[in-house]
Amino acid sequence: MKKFITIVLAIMLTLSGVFASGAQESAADDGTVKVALLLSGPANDQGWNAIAVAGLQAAQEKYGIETSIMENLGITDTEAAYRDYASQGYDLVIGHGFQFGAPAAKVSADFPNQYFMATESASQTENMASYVTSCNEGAYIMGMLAAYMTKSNIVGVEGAMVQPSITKELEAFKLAVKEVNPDIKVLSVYINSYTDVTKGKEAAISMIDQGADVLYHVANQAGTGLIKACEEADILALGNSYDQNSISPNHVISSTSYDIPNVIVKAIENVINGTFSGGIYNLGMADDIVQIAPYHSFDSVLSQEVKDIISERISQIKDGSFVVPTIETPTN
Amino acid sequence: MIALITSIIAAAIRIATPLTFAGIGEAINEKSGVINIGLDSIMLSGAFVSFYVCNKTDNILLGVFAGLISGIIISLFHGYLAIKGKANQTIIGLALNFFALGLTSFLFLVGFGTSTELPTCRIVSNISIPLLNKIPILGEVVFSQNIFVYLLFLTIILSYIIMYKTSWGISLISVGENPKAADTAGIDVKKTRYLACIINGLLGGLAGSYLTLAQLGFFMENITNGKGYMALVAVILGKRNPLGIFLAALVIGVADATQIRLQTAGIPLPSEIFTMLPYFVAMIVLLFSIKNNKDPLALGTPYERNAR
Amino acid sequence: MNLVSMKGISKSFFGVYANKDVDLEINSGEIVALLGENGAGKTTLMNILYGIYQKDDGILKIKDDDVCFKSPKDALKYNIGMVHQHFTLVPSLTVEQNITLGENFKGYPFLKTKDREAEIAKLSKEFNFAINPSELVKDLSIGQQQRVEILKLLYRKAQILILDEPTAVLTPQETESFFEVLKKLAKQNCAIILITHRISEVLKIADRVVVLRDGVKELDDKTKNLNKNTLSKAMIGRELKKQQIKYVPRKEVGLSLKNLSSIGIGRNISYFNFDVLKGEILGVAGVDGNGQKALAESIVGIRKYSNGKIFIDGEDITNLSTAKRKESKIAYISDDRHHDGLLLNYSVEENLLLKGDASKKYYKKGVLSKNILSQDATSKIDEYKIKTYSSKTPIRLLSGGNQQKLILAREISEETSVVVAFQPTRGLDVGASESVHDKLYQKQKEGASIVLISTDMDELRKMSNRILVIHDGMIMGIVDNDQNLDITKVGLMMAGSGVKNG
Repeated sequence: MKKFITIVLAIMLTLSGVFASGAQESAADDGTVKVALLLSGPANDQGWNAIAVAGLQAAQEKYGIETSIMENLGITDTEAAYRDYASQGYDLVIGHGFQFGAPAAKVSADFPNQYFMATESASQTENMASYVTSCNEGAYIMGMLAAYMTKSNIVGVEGAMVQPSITKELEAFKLAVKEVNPDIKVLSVYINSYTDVTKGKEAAISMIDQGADVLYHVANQAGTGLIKACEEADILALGNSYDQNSISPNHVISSTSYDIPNVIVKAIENVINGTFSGGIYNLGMADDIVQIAPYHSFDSVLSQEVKDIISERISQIKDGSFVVPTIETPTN
Repeated sequence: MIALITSIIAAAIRIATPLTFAGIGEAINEKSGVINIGLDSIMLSGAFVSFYVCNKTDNILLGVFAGLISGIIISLFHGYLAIKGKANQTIIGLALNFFALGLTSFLFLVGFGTSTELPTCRIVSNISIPLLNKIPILGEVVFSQNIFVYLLFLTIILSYIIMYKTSWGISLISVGENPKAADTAGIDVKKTRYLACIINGLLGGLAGSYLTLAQLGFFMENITNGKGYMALVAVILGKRNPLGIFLAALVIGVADATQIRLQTAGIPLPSEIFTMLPYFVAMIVLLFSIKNNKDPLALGTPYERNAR
Repeated sequence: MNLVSMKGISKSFFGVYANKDVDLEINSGEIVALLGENGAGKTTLMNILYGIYQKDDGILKIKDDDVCFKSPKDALKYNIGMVHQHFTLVPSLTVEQNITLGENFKGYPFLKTKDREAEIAKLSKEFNFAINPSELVKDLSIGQQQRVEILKLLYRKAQILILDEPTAVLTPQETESFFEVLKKLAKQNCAIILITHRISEVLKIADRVVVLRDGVKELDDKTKNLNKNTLSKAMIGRELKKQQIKYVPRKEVGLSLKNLSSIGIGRNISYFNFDVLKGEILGVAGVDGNGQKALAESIVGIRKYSNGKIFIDGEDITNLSTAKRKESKIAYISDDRHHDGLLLNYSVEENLLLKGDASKKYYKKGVLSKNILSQDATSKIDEYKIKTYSSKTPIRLLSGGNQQKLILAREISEETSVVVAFQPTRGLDVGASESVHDKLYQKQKEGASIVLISTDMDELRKMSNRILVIHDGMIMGIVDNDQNLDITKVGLMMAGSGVKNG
C-alpha cells in the first residue's frame, strides 16, 4: 500500500511538472507576429497572471497575432523558456514579473533580431525592455487624499513586502501627505505577505489603535483585511489594484488601479509598428496605465477645492510638469 | 502605555484564538496516537463552509454549525485512512492540505464567480460582560470579546479537565502510548481514536469559522494562509497541554502584534524574521527535547489487534 | 474444580494451522506449564482463551458456560487474565492508572485515586509485591512492571492467569521470588497457565505439563511423571544433545579491553577491563538493558569511546572503523537481526553480500559475479543447513532460525579472530539454537575469542568458559563457569549487589 502511494505520488509529480511547463503551442511561421507570455503562476489566478493573459488576448483580437502561454514557471526554468521561444522564432517574448528581467536580458544577446520584454523589472539591453508601472503616481494621489481627509492628523499605510515596486508606493504616499500638511503623522508597516488577510487586518487595527483615521494599502489580497478593519472601526480607507469601493462603499474614498493588460498591449503594438526598442519604460498616468478610481459616494463629501487640487495635480503628472519621486528603499 | 498593552494583548488573543482551537484538537488527536498535519485543511474547510452557509442564509449559528460538520468530515476522512486504511498519516495530512486548498478555491469560484465585488457575510458581535468589563486591561481584552473567545476559554478549561482529571483522559493517553494495553484493558482503541478525530475536526472547524465569521466577514482563496501549520507549532511548544498551547499561541500573537506596533512606531524591524520566529523556536524546542521525547509512543502507528 | 475446558480447538492463519484439534483442561489451584518451541502454537492457543483471537473450530467452556470471546474484555468477565511477553503497560501513567485502566469506578469519569490506590496497596502487600501505586510505571524495573501486570489481573478478580514467557526478563533471584508468588496464587485457588520453552523451569514450578508441537498437543501429564528427556522428546521430537565437555582455551590473549568507556544513546559501559583468550567463550550475564548493547557495539566499533583502548591479538584497534575491524576479523551477530543484520526483502544471495570488504571474493575485475555468489550461497546453504526454497528466495520467507543461520554463514564462515554474539539464540527454537551453538563451538576450536552476551542463564552455563556479570554499565565480576559456580551469587551480581563481595 505504501509503495503504491509512493508510485502514485511520483507519477503525479512528474505529470504536473510536464503539464506545468508544457507550452500551449499555436504558432506557425507564416509572417504573422508571434508573441509568447511567460507566467510564474497559473493563468487563471484571478489576479496578477490573469490580467496579463487578458492583455495578450486583447492584442490577439485586435491584431490577429499568434500567441503562446507558458504557466507555472519556476525561476530556474525562466532562461530556458525564453531561449526556447526565441529559437522557435517568436518575435516578442514577454515575462510577467520582476524576476523575468535578468534572464530576458541574458537571452536577448543571442537573438538580436527578436524582442524581449519583462514587466516591473530593472533590466535592459538593445532588444530587451522593461515596462514598469509607475504605481507611485497613484500612491501620491492617495497620499494627498488621505492628508485632506484626516481629522486626527494621523494616517497609515500598509505594504506587503519590502520590494521596490511596493516601497515606491509607500514612500510616494508619505511624501504626498507631508506635502499637504507636514504635521500629519504617517504610520507605515510591512506585513510580509500578499495573501494573509488576517495579518492585513491586524496591522490595520494596530494603526487604528494608534489614532489613524485614513488607511491605504499596497498589499494585494491581504489588503482586503485592511479595508474590513476600516469598515469595522468606521474610518476611511483607500484601495489598491482595482476600484475597491464595492468592498465597503461608505469607507473607501478612492483607489489607485493599474491597467496591466494595456501594458502588454502597448509592448505588442510597439513590435508590430516596429517601434520597440530596449530600455526601461515607466508607464504611468500619462499612458493611462495608472488610474484613479471614481470617488463614488465620497464625491459629495469631498470639497470642490480638494477635488480641484487633486485633478490639477493629476494633470501635472500627466503632462510631466510634476514628477513623483521614485524611492525604492524604505525610509522613516 | 496601558492603551498599548491592551491593544497588544487584544491583538494577541485574536491571533491566538484560531491557533488554540485547532491546536487543542490536534493535541487530543495526537494523544490518541493519530498525527494530522492536515490541520490547515480542517480550518480551511471550516472557514469556507461557515462563510458559504452564513452568506447564503444570513444565519451565523447555522454557519458555525456547518463549519464544524465540514471540519469533522475532513478529520474523519483523515482518521479513516489512518486508522482503517493504515496509511502514512503524515502523507495523508499533507495531501489533505492541498486537496482542501484546491477544493475550497474551486467551490468559492463556482459559488461566487470572479467579480471584483467581495462577497461578505455577517460577523458575530462582541459581548461585554457587565462589571467584569470594567477591570483595567483584562476587562477589555478578556471580558469584551466575541462568543468564540468565550468558547475558547471554556474549551481550554474543559479539555484540560478531560485530559488530566478524568478517566477519559487516561484512556486517551493509553491508546496513544500503548494501544495493546488499552485494548486488553477493554478500551476500544479505534473508537477512541475516531472520537479524538471528531474532536479535532470540531475544534479545527471552529477555528476556521472564527476566521470568517468573527475575524473577517469574508472568504478568500487560502484564507488560513498557513495557520494550520502555526497551530502545529503551538502544539509542539505547548507540549500538547491545552493551557500550554494557549500560552504558546499567545506568545506567537504577542510577538506578531508587538512587531507590527514597533514597525508603525517607526522602529524598522525585518518582518521576515518574525514570520520565521515561531517555526525557529519550535525547531529549537524539538532539538532540546530529542533526549526527552514526550511524544505518545504509538504516535503515527495504526493499531492492529491480530498483528502477528 | 474444572475451570477451563477446551475441546478440539483449531485456528489457522493464511491456511497454516497454528492450533489443530487441541484439548486442554485447567483446574483451580493448579499451575500448568504450556511447553513448546517457538511457533508451536502456545501463544495462539492462549490468545484464543483470552479473546484476542477467535477459534476457527472447537468448544471453549469456562465453568460449564459455552463461550466464544470476542475481545479480552469478554474474557475478563469470566475472570481470565493474561500477562503478555511484551507488557501491556502505559509507561507514562501511574501504577494505579494502569491497573484501573478502562474501569468504570465510583465517581466516573472523574479521577478519585485515593480509594483505589489504597486498595491496590493492600493487594500488593498481600503478595509481598512492594509496589507503590502512585509511582509512574516507566520508573519501575522490569520485574516490578511484571508484578504490576499481575496486580492488574488480581485487581480485576482474575482467577485464571495466563503468563506468557514470564521469566524471560527476570534475574534468577527475581525468578525465584516470582515462583513464590505463583505458588501463593495457586494456594488461593487461582489457576495459572505458564507459557514457556524452558524445560528446567517447568520441572521446578509446574504441577502439570502440556506440550504442544506444530500446533498439536503432544503430551499432557503430571510433572512428577516427567523428566528432562521425556519433555524435550515431546517438544522437539528428539532428546537434547549431551552437554559437551568444555574446550580448554589456548594461553594467548585474543581480545583485550583496557579501561574502555563508551558514549552514546542509552546505557553505556564504563571502565571495562577484560581479556578473552583464543579459543575461549566469555559469557556476559546481566539483566537486559544493563550495557550489553553498548559492550557489543563498542567491540564492533559502532559506538564511540570516551576513553580506554581495545586490542585484538595485541594490535591496537581503538581508532579503527567498523569496516576496518571487520577486515581484522571481527564477526558480529546482532540480537536484532531484522534491524541490524538483514535486508528482509532481498534474497539469501544478496544478503551474503552485506559484509563490506569481505565480500570482495564475489567480484571478478570489480564486477559482481552472479556465478561465484550463487555457488557460494549454495554451499553455505548446505553447510549451515539453511532451510530455503532456493538461494534467490527473499529471506523474509525464512524462519527466524534460518535467518540467524544465514547471518552466521555470512559473519563467521571466514577466518575470524573475534566473535561478538549478542543474544544469538533469542527467539530461536531449541533445534536452531543448538546449531547456532555448534557453530560457535566450531569457531572456538578454530581459536576465535568469543564474547557471548545473553540473558539466558542456561545458555551461558552451557557455552561459557567464564562468565562476566554486568550491572548498570559496570563489570560486577568475572567467575569461572564450572561445577563450583554459585548461581545465587551470579544472580546477586546481576542485581547489582556483587560489588561488596568482590
